[in-house]
Amino acid sequence: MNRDTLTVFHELMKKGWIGRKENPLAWTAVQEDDVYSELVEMGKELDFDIYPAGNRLYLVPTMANDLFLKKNMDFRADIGSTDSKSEDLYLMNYLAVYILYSFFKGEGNTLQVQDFTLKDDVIRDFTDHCRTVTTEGPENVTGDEYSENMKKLAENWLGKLEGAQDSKKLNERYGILNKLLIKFRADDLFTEDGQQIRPTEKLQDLMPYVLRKERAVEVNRWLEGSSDAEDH
Amino acid sequence: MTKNEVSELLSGFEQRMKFFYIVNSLRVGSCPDEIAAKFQGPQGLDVLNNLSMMVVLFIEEKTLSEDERCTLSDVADFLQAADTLLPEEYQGFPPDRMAAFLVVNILQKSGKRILYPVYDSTAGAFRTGTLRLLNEEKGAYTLTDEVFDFLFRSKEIESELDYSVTRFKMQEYMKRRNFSEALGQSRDLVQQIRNMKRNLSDFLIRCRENIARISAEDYQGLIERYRNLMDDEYQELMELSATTDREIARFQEAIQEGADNQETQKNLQSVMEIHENLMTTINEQRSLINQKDLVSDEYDRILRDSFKVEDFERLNFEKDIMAPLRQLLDDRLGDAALTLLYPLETPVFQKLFNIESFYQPVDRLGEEEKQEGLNLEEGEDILAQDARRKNAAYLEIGRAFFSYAASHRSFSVSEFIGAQKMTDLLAWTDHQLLPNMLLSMYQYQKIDLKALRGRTDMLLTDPEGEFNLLWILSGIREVIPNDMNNIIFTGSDGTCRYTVGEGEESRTIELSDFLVEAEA
Repeated sequence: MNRDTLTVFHELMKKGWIGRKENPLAWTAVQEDDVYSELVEMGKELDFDIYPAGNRLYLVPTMANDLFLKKNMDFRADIGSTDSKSEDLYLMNYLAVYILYSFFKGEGNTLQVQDFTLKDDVIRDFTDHCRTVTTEGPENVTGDEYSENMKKLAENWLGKLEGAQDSKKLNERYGILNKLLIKFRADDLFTEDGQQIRPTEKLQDLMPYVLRKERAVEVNRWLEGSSDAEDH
Repeated sequence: MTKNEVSELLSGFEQRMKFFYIVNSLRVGSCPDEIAAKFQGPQGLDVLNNLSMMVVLFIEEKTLSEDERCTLSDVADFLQAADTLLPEEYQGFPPDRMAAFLVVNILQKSGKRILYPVYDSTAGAFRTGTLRLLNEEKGAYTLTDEVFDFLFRSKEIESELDYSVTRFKMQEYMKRRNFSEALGQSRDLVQQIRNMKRNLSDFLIRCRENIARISAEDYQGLIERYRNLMDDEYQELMELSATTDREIARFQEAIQEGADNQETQKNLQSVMEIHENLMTTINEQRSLINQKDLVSDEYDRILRDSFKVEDFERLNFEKDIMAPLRQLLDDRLGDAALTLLYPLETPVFQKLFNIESFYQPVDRLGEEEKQEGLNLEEGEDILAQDARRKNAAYLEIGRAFFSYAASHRSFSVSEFIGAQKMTDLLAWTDHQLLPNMLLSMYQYQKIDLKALRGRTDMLLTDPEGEFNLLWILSGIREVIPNDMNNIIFTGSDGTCRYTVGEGEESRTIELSDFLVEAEA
C-alpha cells in the first residue's frame, strides 16, 4: 500500500475533509491516481465514500458504516429521553430536515435557493407550515396526506411558546431551534452571525451528494419500511 | 414572421430580462409595520424605491477604492445625510433601521436567491436564471457585476469599449486643456477598470457555482478581449500620464512667476487629481493582467475538477423526502435526521478505551462511566445534563436537611450527616455539593423561612447547577412545616469528619461542626 494513501486518510479523519489550501501536501498526494484509487478501495472496505467537491475532498461514511461515531443527528440525548416515541424527538428531526429543505429544495438547475435566513424567518415559516398541516379543509390544497405523527408534531410545535431568542428550553420554539443549531454547528454545517443562519462551505459541497439520485434506493427502502410494518 | 426572424429579434434576450429582474428586485413591494407607518400607501413605497436606488449608488461609490469597505453603518450614515432630501412627511425615520431593511430585506432579499424563468436565446429554450444584487463578506457589501452592468447600462456597449472611449475622451479634453471635463473622464476610467476587475472575479464565482453553465466560448471571449485591450491601452495611458506631468510642471511654474489666481489653482488641482487617477488606473490595469492569468488557471482547474463530480441528477427534496416524511405512521420520524443526513456527520472514531481512565481524579463516580460510548462532541447537552444532575442533587440534599431540621429542632452537622445513608452521601459529595451547600447555608447565619415562604411562589428559572437557596426551598415546600420559621447557624470549635467511598476511591471530608437550630 502506498504510504501517501495512509497520510491522506489520516488527514481526512481529522475534520472529515482536506482542502487544496489547508492541506497542500495531502492534496497533492491525492491527485495521484493510485493514491486516489487506493483510498476508494479503503472506502469500500471501511464503509466510506471519497467525494471531491471543488477545493475540497470529503470522506463521507456510508449507511453501513459502524466504525465511526454518528451521534450528532441523534437527538435523543438532547431531549433527555431514549423514548423513541417522544413528540419532541419527532419535532426536532422534522425541523432539522425542514431547515435543510428550505435552503436546498432546488429550483430548475439551481440547488441552493437561499444564501442565508434569519432565525425569526425560520420560526415563522415553520409555524405557518404546521398551521397548514393542522388545518383541515379547503385551505389545505396540497393534497398531502398527513400521518397522525405529523399532525401531533405540528400541534406540539404550535402549542409551544415562542420564547426568548436565546432560549435553550425544549418547551419553547427558539429553544428547539437553538438546540438544533448547536448540533449543526458541531458538525460544521451552519454558522450563526447574530440572527443570520448561513450554510457552510462543507454543507454546500455535500448537499449534492446527500441528494444524489443513487440514494433514492436507500431512502425509499427506509421510507417504505414503515408501510410494510403498518400492514397488519 | 418566420422562426428565424423571431430568433434574430430575441438574440441576447436573456440579458434584457436580467435587467428587467434587477429593476424588479430593487422595487420595495412590502415593508415592516414600523416603516409602513411612516411611508404610507403606494406613494410611500415609491419614495422607498428611490431610497433603494440611492443605496445602490452609494454602495457603488463607497466601494470605488480598493480598501474601502461598505458596511451597514456606512449605509446608515448615508441615509442620515440623504434624509433632508426627502419630502418632509417622510423625514426622520431611524437611519440604521432603514439601512438594515433596505440592505438585508430588499437588496439581499433576506438571503433568498432571486430565481426567474427566462428565455435563453443561446439554448433556444426557457431556463431558470439566478440573480444576486449584493455580495457580502464579513459585513462588507459590494455590488455584483450584474448590477454594475446595469448601472452603466451596458447591454450593447461592452464595458471595455467604454473604457477605450473614456480614455480617448480624456485625451481630447487634455489636448483642449479642458481640465474639469478631463477630470470627470479620469474618474470614470478608474471606475471602469475596477468594474472590469470585478467582472473577472464574478466570472470565477459563476464558474465555481455551476461550471456547466459557462461555455468555453464565454471563457475564451473574456480572456481574449482583456488581453488585447490591456496591451493597447497601456501605451496610451503612459503617454497621457507623461502629459499630465508636463501640465503640472507648467502650472507650478506659472504660479511661481506670479500667475497665482483661483483659476490656475483650480486647474492645478484638477490636473493633479487626473494624474493620481491615471496612476491608479495604470496600477489596476497591471493587476488586472495578473488577475486574468489567475482566472485562466482557476478556470482550468475548476473545469478539470468538475469532471470528477458525480452525475448532477438529484432527488427532489419536496416529493422524494418531505412529502413521504409527513406520511410516516410509526416512530421512524425519530430517526429521520440520522437516516437522511448521516453523510453530513463528521467522521469520528469511537474511543472505546479512554486513556483518561488512568488519570481520572479519585472522586470520579461510577454514575458517569455508565454512558455507552463516550460522546466527545463538546455539546451544550453535556453542560445541561451536568446542571440538571447538580440541581437534582441540591434538591435531595435540601429535602434531607430540612426534614431532619423539622424533626430534630436542634442538632449539629455531624449528627445530620451521621443520619444519612452512605449511598446518598457518596452521591452528594461528588463535586463537593454537600459540603458547599452546608457551608453556603452556614454563611447566611440565619435563614428567615417565613419571609422566604412568601417568595417561593414566584416562578424561578432553573439554576445552571449552582446553589440557589430560594429555588431549592420552592422545590421542597412540602417538607417545611408551618411552625418552622427560622433556621439559625452557630459556629463551634468541633470538626465534622466523614468518609465516603471504598478503598482507593475513598474521600474524607472535613468541615466545621456547626450547630443548627430550627425555631418557630
